[in-house]
Amino acid sequence: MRSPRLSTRRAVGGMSTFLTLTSLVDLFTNLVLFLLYNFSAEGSSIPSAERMKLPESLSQQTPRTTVTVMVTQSDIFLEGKRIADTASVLNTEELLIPDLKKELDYEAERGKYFANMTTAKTFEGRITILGDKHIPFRLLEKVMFTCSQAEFGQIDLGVIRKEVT
Amino acid sequence: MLPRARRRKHAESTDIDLTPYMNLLVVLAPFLLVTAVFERLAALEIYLPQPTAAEAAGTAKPPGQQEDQLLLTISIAEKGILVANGAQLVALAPPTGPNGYDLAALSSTLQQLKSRYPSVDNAVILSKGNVAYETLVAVMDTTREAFVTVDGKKKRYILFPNISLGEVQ
Repeated sequence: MRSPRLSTRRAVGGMSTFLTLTSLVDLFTNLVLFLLYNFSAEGSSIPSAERMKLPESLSQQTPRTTVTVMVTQSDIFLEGKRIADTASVLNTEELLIPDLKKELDYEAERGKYFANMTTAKTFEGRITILGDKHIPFRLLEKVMFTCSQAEFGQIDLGVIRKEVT
Repeated sequence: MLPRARRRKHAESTDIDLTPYMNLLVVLAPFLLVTAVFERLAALEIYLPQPTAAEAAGTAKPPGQQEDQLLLTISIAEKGILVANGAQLVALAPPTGPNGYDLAALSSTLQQLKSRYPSVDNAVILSKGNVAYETLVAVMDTTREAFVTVDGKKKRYILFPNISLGEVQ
C-alpha cells in the first residue's frame, strides 16, 4: 500500500514543482500600477482625520500649492505652526486676529522676497483656508478678514471632493 | 537539424524566474497602499467683496440701478435661506430639518433666476455668524452649479460661479 503511493508522488514531483504565480503577478502588477498612478509626490496636505474634517464639495477645481491656514475646532495653524486658539478668537469682538496678522505679514514679505529673486513667479497673495466643517462662519470670517488685511486677497477654501450622486 | 535543436531548447527552460519581480511587487504594493490618498482635495475659490459687491450686499438700492438687473443676494438665516435681488425678496427656502435647509428648493429658484438673467455670474452669500462652515459650503455648491436629470443622465449647469461672502447681523 505504501510503496505505490510514494512512487506516484515522486512522479508528480518530477513533472512540475512550481506554483503557478502568473495570476498573482498579474494582480500585483495591476495593483502597483493603479497605486503609482494615484500617487502624489507632494504628499497629502489633508490633515489627520481625528483633528478635523473638511467639508465636502462638488468643486472640480484642483488645489494650488499656497500658504495654508488651518482652522480646527480648537486651534488655528499657519503652515503647520500653531498661532492662536479658536475659543479666545471667538470671544473677542475684533475682526482682526493680531497673532495671525503678524505671521501672515511675515509670510507675505517672504513671498515677495522670493518673487523678487525669480522672474518666473510673482507674489499673488494666494492663500488656502482649510477649515473644519463644524466651525462657525464668524470664525471663518475673522480668518478671511485677517488674510485680506495681510495682502492675501485671493482666498481658496480647501474641501474634500465629492462626486455627484 | 532544425527540428532537433528546437526540441532540445524547449525541454531546457520552461519558465522565467519571477522571484525578484515578486519581491519588488510585494514591497511596493504595501508601501503604496499605506501612502495612498483616497480623499481628493479640491478648492473653492471665493471673491472677497469688492466695493461694488459690498454695495450690492447692502440693503439700500444703489443709485442709478437699472430695473431689470440682478444683484443676487442669498442670506442664510434661522428661518431659511432668503434669495433676494437687491432689496427685493425673491424666494425663501425654509429649513426642512433641525439643521438642514431645503437646498433643492434653493437650486430650482436659482435655476429660474439664471434662465431670466443668463449673463449674471455674481452672487453674494450672507450668513449669520453661527452658521456652520459645512452649511455654507453646501449653499455655495448649490449656488455655483446645478445638476439636472435629462434622460436619466445628470447634467451640470453653471449658475453663479463668482461668489462673495459676507455676514448678516
